[in-house]
Amino acid sequence: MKIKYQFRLTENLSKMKKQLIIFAVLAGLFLASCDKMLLPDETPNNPVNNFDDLWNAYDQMYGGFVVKNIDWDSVYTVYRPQINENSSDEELYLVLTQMLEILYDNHVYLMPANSNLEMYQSGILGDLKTCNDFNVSVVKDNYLSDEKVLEDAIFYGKLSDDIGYIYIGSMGKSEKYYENAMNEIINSLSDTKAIVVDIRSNEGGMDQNSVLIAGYFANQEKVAFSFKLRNGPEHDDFTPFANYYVKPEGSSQYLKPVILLTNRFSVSAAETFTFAMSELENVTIVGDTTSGAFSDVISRELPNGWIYGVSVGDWRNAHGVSYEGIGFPPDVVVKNDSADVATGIDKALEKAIEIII
Amino acid sequence: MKRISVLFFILIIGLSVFAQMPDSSANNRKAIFKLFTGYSNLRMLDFQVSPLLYRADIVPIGIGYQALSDNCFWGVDAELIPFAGLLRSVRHNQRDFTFTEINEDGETEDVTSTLKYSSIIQQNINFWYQTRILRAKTSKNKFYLGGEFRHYFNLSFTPSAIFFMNELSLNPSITFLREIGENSSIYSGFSFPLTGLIVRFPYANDPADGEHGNFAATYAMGSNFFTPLSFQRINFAFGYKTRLSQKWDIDFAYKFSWFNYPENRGITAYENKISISFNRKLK
Repeated sequence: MKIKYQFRLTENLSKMKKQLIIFAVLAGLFLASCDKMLLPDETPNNPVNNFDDLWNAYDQMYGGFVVKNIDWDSVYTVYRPQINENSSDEELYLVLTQMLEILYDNHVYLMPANSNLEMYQSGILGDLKTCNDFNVSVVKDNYLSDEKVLEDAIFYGKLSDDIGYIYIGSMGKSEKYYENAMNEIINSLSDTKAIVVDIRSNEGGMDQNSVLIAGYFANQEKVAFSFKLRNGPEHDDFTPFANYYVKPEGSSQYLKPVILLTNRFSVSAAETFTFAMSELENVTIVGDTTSGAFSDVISRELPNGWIYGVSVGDWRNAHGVSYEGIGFPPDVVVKNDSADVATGIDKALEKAIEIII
Repeated sequence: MKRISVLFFILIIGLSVFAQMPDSSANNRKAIFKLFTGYSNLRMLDFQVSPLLYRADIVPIGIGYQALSDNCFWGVDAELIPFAGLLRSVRHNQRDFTFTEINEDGETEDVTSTLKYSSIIQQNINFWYQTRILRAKTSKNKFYLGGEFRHYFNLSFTPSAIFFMNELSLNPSITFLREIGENSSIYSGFSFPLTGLIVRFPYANDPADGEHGNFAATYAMGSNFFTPLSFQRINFAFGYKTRLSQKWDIDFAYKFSWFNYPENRGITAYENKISISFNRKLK
């Protein structure tokens, strides 16, 4: 039986040969590129198109024009004439970065491809470039005991027998990670009389994680912050405001005094975390103003392959106040300088301990 | 969303407009299990996300079931991507980026990243029913008319953009089949969507609503009911099928699809696909 089918298979394949060849040729012809016929034109890569593409993307999607009172049309009038078809990459980069500097937004960046041109970042982070008022090693080496590291985003321990310390370096991991971490930490530090939560140099991440973590210090549900997103080409085309809420999370919450440490490098979701924590009565914020980049950011690219970021929303605290481009101020201002850090001193942390004692 | 769901349910029932009930007197009933693979080339311009033309090379693997008689057939195909396809810009084959990162110690580090390929996830699920029309018992040519419910899903993350497209649609379809000898046939089919649901990222490309995670928020914020005026797609297939044994058929097919969704800066794409399917007769 098997031999019979094998014979029939060979016979059929032989008959199929001619039809298969015709089929393959036809398929090959169809597979040849039909881009010009079937697709609109890809935006040509030249300096003028690159400028226009970037300007238009911000015009149609940037969420901060109204709140920052920026006249984007006049920006075009000033900068567009500085670019022509023969402009070099360096000239284009210079004009684009000067234009983006007006937005003064830490989420706004421009990353040239295949080039020696450095990544550009707008806002105060672009000005400061280096964080010289904080170093986790100073905390670890000179203040912290019983340190426990939870992967690379969080570590915690004790500053004294009855003062706990949590460092959160990112809001960008999974919700499950933060749930597990916070349950462990709150359980471990429950016998302390106060906790210092440190989000200095926190790179941000997801807003959902911000309100989740804040929920471990909350005793009731409250509005944490609100936001709206661009939904049309006009600068004031926005979705209705939506709220994020902070509410008690985990099996138990830490409702004793909490000091939140911030600095200029507490960015984005670290700042919405600050929004959420500022609504809690047991929280005092100490340190420096946050960076001032609250909105969500999306990445896009230019016809020349350069990548850039656009902030697409308008983020407000629970009372409707925008701190975009400004940063959220602490209740108690304490700034380290580079000499403090170099000598192993953390004045902001010491101030937090002093407030608790 | 509730209204859209109800409308969609009604439309699914309305599929019978295009497909009559099978003839109970039909003989020569059989059922087939299909296993197929192939190569697909997707070319896509999604101005909501990027001004650049992207191409994807995909090797799908799919399974299907088909029940047919002399007068009608129905079936379901599920095409899956068990390993990610590759997506890249046509213009920029490889891009190197250098940027500065600040670590938790406050120190700056230069990091170089290369962007060449990104992964793409794609899924096609088709359910169709067709009934034979223009019947002539001796004819080797057979025409079938019916409808197709299609789910098309496409998602790709690149460092510069996230491409996302999800389509649920109802498509009238027609198939022409010509028998060649006792064991072989050629066929061609055509379908296009009349209506359905398109899910894309909302205007700002940022699915955030404060209530749901990003995936659920995308559906809550980016779902739109469509008509042929707001979304156009054509699907065309041409194939050759022959019997290998009493139990097995083999089916070679070329499939082409093109779609255009001009809403929100617009996406236009087309896909060429060649596939080989091994069909096992079940009864």
